[in-house]
Amino acid sequence: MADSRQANDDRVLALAFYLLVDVSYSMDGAPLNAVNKILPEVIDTIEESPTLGDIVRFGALDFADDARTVLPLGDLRDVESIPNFTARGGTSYAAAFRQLRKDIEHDLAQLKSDGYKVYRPAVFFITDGAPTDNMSDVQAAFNDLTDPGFRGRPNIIPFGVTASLSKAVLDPWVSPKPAESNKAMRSYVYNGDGDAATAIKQIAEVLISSIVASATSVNDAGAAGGFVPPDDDDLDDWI
Amino acid sequence: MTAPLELTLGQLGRLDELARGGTATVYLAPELRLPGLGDERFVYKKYNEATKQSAGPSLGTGLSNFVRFRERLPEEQREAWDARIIWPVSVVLDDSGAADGVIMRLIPERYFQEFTKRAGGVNRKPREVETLFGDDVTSARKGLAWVDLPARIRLIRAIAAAYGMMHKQNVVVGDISGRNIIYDPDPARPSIMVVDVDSARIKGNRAVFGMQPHTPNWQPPEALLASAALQRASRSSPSPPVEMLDRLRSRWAIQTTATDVYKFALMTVRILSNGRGGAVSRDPARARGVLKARIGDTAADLLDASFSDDAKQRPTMRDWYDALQHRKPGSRTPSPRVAADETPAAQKTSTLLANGHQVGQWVWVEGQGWVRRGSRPRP
Ligand SMILES: Nc1ncnc2c1ncn2[C@@H]1O[C@H](COP(=O)(O)OP(=O)(O)OP(=O)(O)O)[C@@H](O)[C@H]1O
Repeated sequence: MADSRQANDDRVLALAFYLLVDVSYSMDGAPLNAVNKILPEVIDTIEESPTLGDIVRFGALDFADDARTVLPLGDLRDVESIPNFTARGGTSYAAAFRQLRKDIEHDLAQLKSDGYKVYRPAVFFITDGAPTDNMSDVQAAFNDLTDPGFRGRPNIIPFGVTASLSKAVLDPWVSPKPAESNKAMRSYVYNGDGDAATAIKQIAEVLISSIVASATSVNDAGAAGGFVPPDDDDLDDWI
Repeated sequence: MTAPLELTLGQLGRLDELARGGTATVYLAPELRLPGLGDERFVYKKYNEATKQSAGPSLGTGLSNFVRFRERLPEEQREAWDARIIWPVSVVLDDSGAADGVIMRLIPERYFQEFTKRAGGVNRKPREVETLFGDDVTSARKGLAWVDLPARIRLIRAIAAAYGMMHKQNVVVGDISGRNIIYDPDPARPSIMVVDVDSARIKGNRAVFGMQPHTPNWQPPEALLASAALQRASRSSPSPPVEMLDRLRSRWAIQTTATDVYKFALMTVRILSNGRGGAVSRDPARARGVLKARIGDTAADLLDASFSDDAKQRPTMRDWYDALQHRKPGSRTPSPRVAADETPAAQKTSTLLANGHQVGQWVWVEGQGWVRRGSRPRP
């Protein structure tokens, strides 16, 4: 019996997505206004499709000097009033990574106990600046988050929303890296004619496309494939 | 006169982008008129590069076979076909003469839905059958009309009729999911159409886009078994013979009339026991009860048999269609005007709704149920 259940695993694969947003003061105004349009759009997409509703679990965090869970990972159809991101303080990547590790650990355990199968979650990480905290702190928090022993170590895709941000600032926080996996992620820095708000609007679009594509993806063995990262063709203005 | 088998890009006239899917971009071709297709309007589905690549050089032949298949149907059958299926009517060639996409009829207006957005405004797009799988609260918030059980059963019967017709003409539907049936819940005439038939296969031919995997959460048991075996085999060492892996690989993607029947039964379950988790549910209990109570034991037994692990034990779409024609003696006629009939859910809804209550394109008329806004009131 146990054997036949294993052979015929039809547990539903849940897809966990996190939006991680830098809310340091430089993001105040148009950039955060654009960020605040992301959640309503994602919720509309989920609510228009019961299939997405049943398999996608979405959470949001912000960070400045500290990090906070803005929307705990869950079924977006349950969200009554949509939380807003507001600006405060500096840019502590370390705080962001630590909070993320805590949340993921808790959220994945919850999903599993609810009977779902889960793979590694995906993190869409939006920032407009380099970390203001101590580099060794950031590195330690990142190592902890992406520790190979951590089953929920996420796929992390950093998006820099101003051209002034160098790719070298973001690349260390990509996970997994090309040397580590044949399904490596990458970072994106906006290099188009628009402002940060334009860049953020494009992130919303690729985030939604990625959610939709992930829901129907199939792996080499014909089983649900899980996370499909953004398509570079949809990110022409990004390097 | 029939529509030309092939058209060039230049013959399409103006193109307005309508939507982007995973495999193609769909454009309205407002100026295009085709002989034999009266005052229909058309869309151009242009496959993206990746899709064309994966189909390979036989894409043009495959698509032409599709178009010819419909044209060869006797007129009466073609009319029945067109009433239920949005099938390609011409192949579009690019400047080099290679197949670039297909022309299809524009989906009729009554299958479109305006989905209410959280921040105000609406998204307008075809009303896919999966919107029947969801919970009532979210559906109401989106502006979807409430669809009662009798109407749901009539929609299921309409799906059985369409799939049954396809099987009769030796067409395997293939990649069935909550997205490739659209419906109109109008209580006066609930109806459906089969869309996105790219993955269909005319028996004796290969599928146009090659091996089509089953959509996640729609895999039949034989595919789940093959996937699990393949996953185990690819992890084992020494690695198993290539032929064995190939055999497993071809098994997880196999699409037959029997896999269609399994997926039709899943769709029935998801339509009849909607709610949270309903779009991925494989639990037949509630749907079985509804079928037993409203149609009879035959339909309930068909549901069980359709879920058989052994594909040979599954019934045919014809069996389903015949069974759904019947009503249990004494059960109420699923007539067009019973939206406020005796079902507990309907009672609940009708007492909640004031006459004239509007949701999206629909208005609640006491004694009639949901009526499309702007349509003439029935006496
Ligand atoms: N005949 C049609 N009339 C009007 N709109 C259509 C028609 N066919 C497709 N569309 C629109 O285009 C979208 C994409 O079409 P379709 O689903 O056929 O593409 P696809 O690439 O095969 O999709 P998927 O993302 O499911 O693989 C549909 O969701 C629908 O909104």
